[in-house]
Order: sequence, then C-alpha cells, then structure tokens
Amino acid sequence: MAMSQAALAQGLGFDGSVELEQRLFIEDNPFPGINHSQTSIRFLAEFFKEWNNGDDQLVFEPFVRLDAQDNERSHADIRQLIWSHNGENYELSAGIGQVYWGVTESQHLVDVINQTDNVENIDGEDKLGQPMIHYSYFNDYGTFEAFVLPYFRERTFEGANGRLNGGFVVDNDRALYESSAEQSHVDFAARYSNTIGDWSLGFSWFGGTSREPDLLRFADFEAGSTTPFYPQITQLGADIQLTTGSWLVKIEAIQRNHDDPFYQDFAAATIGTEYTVVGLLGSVYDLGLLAEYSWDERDQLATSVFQNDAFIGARLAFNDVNDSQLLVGLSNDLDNSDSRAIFVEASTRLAPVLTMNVELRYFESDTPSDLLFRLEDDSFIQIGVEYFFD
Amino acid sequence: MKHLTCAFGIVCLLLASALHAETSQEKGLAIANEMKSRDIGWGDSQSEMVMTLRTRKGQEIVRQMRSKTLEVQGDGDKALTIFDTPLDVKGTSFLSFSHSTGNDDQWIYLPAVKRVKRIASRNKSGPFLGSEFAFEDLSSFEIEKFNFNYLGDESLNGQAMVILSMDPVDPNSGYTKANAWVDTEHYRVHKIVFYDRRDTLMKTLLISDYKLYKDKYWRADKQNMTNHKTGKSTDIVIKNLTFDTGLSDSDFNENRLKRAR
Repeated sequence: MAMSQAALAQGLGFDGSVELEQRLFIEDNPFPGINHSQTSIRFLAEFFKEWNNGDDQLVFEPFVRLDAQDNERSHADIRQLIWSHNGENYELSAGIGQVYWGVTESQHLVDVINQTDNVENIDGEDKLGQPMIHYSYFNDYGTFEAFVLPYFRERTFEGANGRLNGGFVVDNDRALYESSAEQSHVDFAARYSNTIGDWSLGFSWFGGTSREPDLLRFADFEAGSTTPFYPQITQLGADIQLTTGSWLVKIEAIQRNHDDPFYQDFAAATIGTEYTVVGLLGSVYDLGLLAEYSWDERDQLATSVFQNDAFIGARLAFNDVNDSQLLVGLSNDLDNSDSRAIFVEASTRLAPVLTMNVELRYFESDTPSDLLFRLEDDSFIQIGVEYFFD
Repeated sequence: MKHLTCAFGIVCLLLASALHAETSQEKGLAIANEMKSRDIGWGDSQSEMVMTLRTRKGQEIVRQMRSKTLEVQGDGDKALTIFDTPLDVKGTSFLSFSHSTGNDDQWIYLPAVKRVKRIASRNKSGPFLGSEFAFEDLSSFEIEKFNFNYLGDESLNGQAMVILSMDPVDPNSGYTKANAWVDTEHYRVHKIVFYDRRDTLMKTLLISDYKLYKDKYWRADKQNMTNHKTGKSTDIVIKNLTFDTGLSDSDFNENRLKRAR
C-alpha cells in the first residue's frame, strides 16, 4: 500500500480485481442442454500515468470475462484507453473512453455515448469502451462539451448456450445498419450542463447510430433468432436533479427522431425521487428510499420494458467497517400489472482485499406481449467473490 | 466580508469590554473569532490521510485517502478526497463545498459506473465511511455554525486552556452540545466532547501533534475519536501536508472528479 502511494506520487498507478461469479437459475430453461448454473470469471485492471504536473493523463482499463456456459458472454474489451489533457478551463480527451450522463436509477434514457455491455448484466450499467474525441470547456456559465465518435460498438448479446437471451438468439455477426458506413459512421454529440444552487441541469444532443438495436424488424420467430438493426437517430435529452435537504428530485427526458419512416419518433421520460434517512431508528444505518416512474410515448410498441412502469427501491448502508450495503428494488408494469422484476444487490468486505457481492434477479410476467415475459424462466441468484490487487 | 465582520467583531468586543463586563457568550464568541482569524489566508493544501477504524472487539480496518483543500473567503472551504484503500473503494472521490449556513454541496464519483452523483447533504450527522467521525466533524470551522459560550479555564496536558462550548446551530446536527478545550497561546483545539440529544456524553475527540506551517498556521497530525456508546474508535493521521500547491477553483470542478487520482 505504501508502495502504491509512492508510485502515485510519481504519477503512476496500477490496480485491478478478479471476480469469480456463480449464477444459479431458479427455473428450467425451455431449451435442452442448458444448465441451471453458470460459472464465470471476470478480470478488470487499470493502469494510470500522469505527467506535466497532472495536466496530462493516460488511463488504460482492460476487461476480460470468461464464461463456462455461454461463449458469447466470454468477451474482452478495452473499457478505457484514453489520453486527457487538462487545461485551466478545458479538457481534451482522445481514445477509448467512458462517459455517463443522467440522474435516475431505474433507467438510463439520456446516457447515450457508450454502448451497453448487455452480457455483463441486464441492468444496463455495464458499458463498452467508446472511441471518442471529447472536448469540454467550463466557465461560470456551465460546462460545454462536444464529442466526435468515429466508430460504433455493437451491443453484446447472450449466445444460444446462455440464459437471459429471451429465447432469442441475436446474430451479432450479421448486424445491419441504416447507414451504409455501418460501424464506421461518425457520430456526434454535444452537452451543456450546469449547477445552479440546488439544481443540476444537463441538456444533450446526439446524432448518429442508435445504441439501441431494433431486434424485431428482422426477427425470425419460428427459428427463434434475429439480426440486430441499428437505425440512425437524432436524440435530444434533458436530465435535471434538484438536491434539497434529504430529498433528491430527478427527471430524465428524451425526444428521439429517426430518418427512416419505418420508425415512429417518440418522447420518453423517467421522473423520480430519492429520500435519505440518516441514522435510521437511532442506528448508524442510512436508508435511501427511491421511487421512479417511466413513460414512453410509444406505449405498448416501446422497445424498452419501461413504457409505463413504476419502480420503488431501498438502499441500506450499514456504515460498518466492511462497507456493507443492501439495495432492493421492484419494477412493476402499470399496464400489465402481472409483469414485474425484483432485484436485490448486497455487498460486504470479507477481508481487506476481498469482497462478496450477492445479487438476485427475479422476473415475473403472465403477459406474452410484455418484454419481461421472455425472461420469465431466467430468474437467478448470483454470488461473486472479488479479489483486489495493486 | 469575513475579514470585515471579524475585524468589526473584535473592535466591538474591545469597545464592549471597555464599557462593561462581557458576558460568557461574548467571551465565547471572541475566542471563536480569534480561532478563526488566526486561520485566515492559508490558501490551499494537500495531504495524505490514514484512517484506522477500530471496533470494540479490536477488529481494525485501515482507509488511506488523499485530500486537497482550498480556502474560500467568506464561505466554507472546498475539499476533494480521493480514496486509495481499501482497494474496492479505490478511485472513489468525494467533493464537498462547505457552507457557513445551510447545507453543504456534495458530489461523489463512483468509478465502477463512471458516474458523478450529486448527493443529499443533510447527512452531516451520518458517519464518514463507517468511521466514528461524522461528516460535520470533518467540515471546515465556521463561526456561523455554532452558538459559543465561555465555560471557564482549565489546564490540559500542562497547557493553559479555555473551555468553549460550541453548540451547533443546525437542527440536523448529530449533537446538541459540544465543549472544546482551546489553548490560550495559539488558540488551537485539543479536545472536544460531544453530547447527544439526551444530553449524555457521546464522543470524545482528541487532537494532538500540532505542527506550524507557513510560520502561521497550526495543523494537527493526529485525531482520535472515541464513541462512548459503541466502544468504537477512529484514528486519523495526517501525512505529507503541504501548502501552496497551486490548487485553484477549477481543481474542484465536479467535471474533474473522474480524473482525480
């Protein structure tokens, strides 16, 4: 530990972790030969170098997952390989990077720069590295950002041997694009954000290849397979958070327009709130209560599960020496009220360099037209033990 | 503005003491103003911090972090804390703008999801990273945050001290009452006892190993907080504290959080 602090002083850093992960599926898979359990191992590291008094930085973050069951889930990625130069009022980055936009928890509508690494987890939190040139300028009037995104990353999907594929095998090797430039289409994005008192505001524009593929257009329902199609979109986004006392109030909204008349232009939004109880019932526990509502103008034709859905959740921080945490959430469809997803995420530290992460995802739906119906047989418990090194 | 109010306060105080015997509240405020005025103009600093958390059973965990602070004239300071160990929280960084009145502004950067989150800051009574220090214990000292009262003189570790009661103004504070032992030579705090809502002794903070920086500013290398209710304690040891490191407002921009290393 002392060595790494000395290294940091010289502008060098290295750390990483290996996680052994075991998933146990509760129900039988309707397809023969697919196991109840899925074992995998994940490796993630970060190399870091800083020079010019910290004005220049290089970050390299490689990632590898090896899955015993699903060869599509076995994959490697460069999460980041990016150089950044920090000026007094600006920052210029070039390379493969990760950028997060947004404020809500149950859905990330506005966040559009990085592709979702869907095989990692279905919560949409894991992202693939995105090649980019990113310039930001900040002054008293806020932060102005511009992005050039010269290469497109395809969303990852579980293979035929995996679970959580919704009974649909996505043929990633034959992905189709609206743009004849396909993956080489250059996308652009811009964002303005500012903090004014208790308000945090972000307004964004994106023009280019949709990160979300259309899986229905070229679906072969009889064969149970599909080819993803990536249309061109223009998306305007707003993310707003009010932070006041113990309350957070959040809004994310988008308007997505298509060139291709095959697609309906639409608006979608998530609004929500978060309330924190510090020192629950005289203890040292902090309890965060979350409630969010998601709406999509396309209603039942929406391509996300969040077309008219409510989410409630609770986050309990034990504030103990092991940083134990528990997060519980329930998403319920308000149109098809029998469709719901429940998750539990818990983590604690077993030793200074060892943590345990437990996750439960439970899906329930009796409505065949609901997107969640396809995951009905794929509820699972996941136990991970993660070892950290530097 | 702070300079003005301070200077004005001292002038008032001199006048007041010339005209009539000062009350214990006036004397308490005068001591607090003296403490604050001796700590104006330090600029910016960087340091390493080792935090050792101990449970009643003797289980220990060490958290290492680095912090960067910037003095803000007329308001609370800006602070950026970067966590180094335990390794599972490495890269997490915490940005805080303290304010003399009202809630602080706080952001946290979560490296796993590359996300900067602005968080609700009425957490001042909550524990800082599972330690016995609450967020408010680590926030900058501002006159407006307390009601002061001079309680008397006492010697501690062979040094002449005054006991200053500093009761938090904010109803969201975890304390109703706190008494500080302040030396009369350099106006440094050596000990604070905290009382909870039921007026029972809750925690004791011992501050020691003061060093002089820039010929003017005293900073303690060691702080020990003991929680009398749980038997848990936390030590903070400061290392490699340096001033005038060239930090400016832009180093405390929320956009810079994810670059913090």
